[in-house]
Amino acid sequence: MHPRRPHGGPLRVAFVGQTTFFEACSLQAPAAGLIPRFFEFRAGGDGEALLAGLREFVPHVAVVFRPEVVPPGLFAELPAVTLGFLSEPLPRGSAAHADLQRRMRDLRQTDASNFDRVVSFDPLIAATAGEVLAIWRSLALPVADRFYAPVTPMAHPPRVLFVGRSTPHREWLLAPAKLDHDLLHVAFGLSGDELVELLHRHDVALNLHNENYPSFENRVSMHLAAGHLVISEELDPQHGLEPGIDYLQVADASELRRALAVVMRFPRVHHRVRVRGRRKAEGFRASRVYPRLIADLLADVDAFGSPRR
Amino acid sequence: MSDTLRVSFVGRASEVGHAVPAAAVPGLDASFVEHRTGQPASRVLAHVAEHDPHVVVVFGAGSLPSATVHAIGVPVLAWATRPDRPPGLEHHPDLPDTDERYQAVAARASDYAHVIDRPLPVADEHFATPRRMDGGPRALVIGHSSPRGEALLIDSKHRHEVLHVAAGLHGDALADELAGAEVAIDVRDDDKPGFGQRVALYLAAGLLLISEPLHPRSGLRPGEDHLEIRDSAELVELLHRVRADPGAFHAIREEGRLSAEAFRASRVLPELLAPFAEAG
Repeated sequence: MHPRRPHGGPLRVAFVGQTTFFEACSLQAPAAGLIPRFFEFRAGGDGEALLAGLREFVPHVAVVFRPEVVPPGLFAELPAVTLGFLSEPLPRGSAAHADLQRRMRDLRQTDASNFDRVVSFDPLIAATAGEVLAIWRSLALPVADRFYAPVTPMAHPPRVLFVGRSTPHREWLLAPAKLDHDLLHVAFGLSGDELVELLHRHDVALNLHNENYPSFENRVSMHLAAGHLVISEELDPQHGLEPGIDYLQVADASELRRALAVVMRFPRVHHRVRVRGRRKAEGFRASRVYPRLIADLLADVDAFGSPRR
Repeated sequence: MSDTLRVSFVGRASEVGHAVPAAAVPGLDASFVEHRTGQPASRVLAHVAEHDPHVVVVFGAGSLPSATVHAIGVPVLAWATRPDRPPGLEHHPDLPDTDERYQAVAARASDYAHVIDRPLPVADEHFATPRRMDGGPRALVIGHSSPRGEALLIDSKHRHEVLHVAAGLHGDALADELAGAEVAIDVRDDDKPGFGQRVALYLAAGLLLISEPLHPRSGLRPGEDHLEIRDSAELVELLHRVRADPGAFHAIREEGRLSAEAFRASRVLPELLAPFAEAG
């Protein structure tokens, strides 16, 4: 059903998702025999226009972020192996935050028959997601290679950045830090070159959860890749990162304020943490992750088939 | 007093810096000192001593201690502003609002020679000619988010090109973002009438201003120099029309740019502040 793969030849891989969020998680240049192209698609988007673009590109594989927003049956006739990549937090038990319950309701809209395999960004949601979709693997969202940069000396004072939408939980944590410092908070809308440039102009990056529930946001790995000192709420799962070694962990607004005060006064004090974090970020590099993931995907579908076909 | 009015402005650059000219303009030599509520005022006093202003203007009456206001030997005016931060933080234990010791010493309106309650002016350097760019027009939102504001914006954020910078934008970075946008959206935290702190800035920068109804209007005319929206669906639809035919809205942008002249800092500030300098 999918285009015949040339033996050892290049594979065309379509990445499908909302550019603002997911271009940064995709492969953006040919690597290890993969030829990528990104296709913009968001909730409520024009499915037929997406299909037309995909038919023109004729991908061997389509990696689809947020599979729950793809219309039912859209990929039924798509001659490619399709991989859904779950990127949103979900309940981990019966007593879940209302925001997680809403996301679970969204996930229940997924047409499982659109996908040959599904990956979740968080192993701890796999059981919940499994009520709707069979989860094949769990791994953190990769980081596009263009975001990788060396650790450079901090500016004086260090420039602090938070990229993420505003929520009451986040604003509560940020309020004292915003009062004390010129912390740039980009709530929505940056991607591509502009986002890369913004990252390069900053030294310290914050990661705060949407609401008061644990998760692992891909901005952590993106900022580590950019050589930032990352200050984050507790990560769960940690995807191999270690608090105090690869990033700084804070529990509340006061700790965040104090952590920033120390960095502002002594910019080099956590230099080793930046270096370690940058090294760990190599594990998320798109050109390293996707070739292995896609090779495994194709081998797995070849070996075990797919409910989709 | 010389012909040039020296004024020192006290506030947060990311909230009010756009109102103060960065360089001297005819009739006004303005200086700005960064100060955040609850932080030591020694830098403010040192700045005043260095610049020897005729008048000092403090953005947000309660941002300085009363004793500091009285220690300044020239007329000190307050410009009524609200902190650029979302609702719901009134009881935050780490903010000066809930620090009883700070509240006990914070300046009140009565500590000032006068309280100015009018829209912020716009520094001359932010005035620009409306211009079209390649690609779809980007809409810019600057300022904190609130549940109400987000409910108004969220559908547009997911359907159109909207950049929202919630905090920390000033100086060259502010100028860059203004220069990179063609549309600006101004929404409020609550249903109370108001006039956003950056409304005049957006018009001066030559952007197409889309706003909830302004009250007071301060001379602006909806449908002529800016556009009004009342809900999320109207905003989505309007942005769709702008994207489909940006040129159709160019006349409104030009009219908005003309209306912004009434907020030009070099025009507003000397006229507004000179009487206080002379009285002092």
